[in-house]
Amino acid sequence: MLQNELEECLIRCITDHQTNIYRLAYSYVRNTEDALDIVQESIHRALVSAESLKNPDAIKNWLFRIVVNLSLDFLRKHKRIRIVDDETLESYSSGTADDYPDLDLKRALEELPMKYRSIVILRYFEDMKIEEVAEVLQENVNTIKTRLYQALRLLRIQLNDDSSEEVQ
Amino acid sequence: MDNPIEQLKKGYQDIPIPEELERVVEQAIKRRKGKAAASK
Repeated sequence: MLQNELEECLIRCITDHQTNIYRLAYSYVRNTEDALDIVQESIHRALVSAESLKNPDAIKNWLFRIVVNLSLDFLRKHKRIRIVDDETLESYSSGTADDYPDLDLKRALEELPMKYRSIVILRYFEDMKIEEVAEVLQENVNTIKTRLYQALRLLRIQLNDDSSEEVQ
Repeated sequence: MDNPIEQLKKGYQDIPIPEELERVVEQAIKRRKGKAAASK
């Protein structure tokens, strides 16, 4: 693909997915101004480095990877990433649910360590396939499946549809 | 009641989209196009 065509393709992808990009950034930084800054920086970075894109069919995954990486950089810079050890994580999953299931679930997702939360967001909220999530997060498919299983366990969610088979 | 993932997804989809988003996206694209044209 010619450089101009590639750039046009990328611009179309950015425009078509601008709300997804924003929500993805917002889900990390939880602040409108910061999320908009990340959107702006992501577009800039994507357009500047478009020539490094090897597979134009994977343009959306590549763009989402830039958004995720910039969001994580932002959180690291502002020290908003919490390190949670395994023991603490285990205590999340063994506790009993309170009387406000919706609130409890939302809080559980917010408290989920980033490596798990990213997977839940991309797989279920952005409706990506496991393989696409792996591509965005640059991990292998089995790692994503394992982490997704652990994330659902921490959220105390049991799926009873086809989704449960993919994490087995 | 919706399944838990659907509840969480709904919360995600309800994240409000600011009016400035479109402008921010347009400006970021224009700025890049301007720089690319200037460098030719």
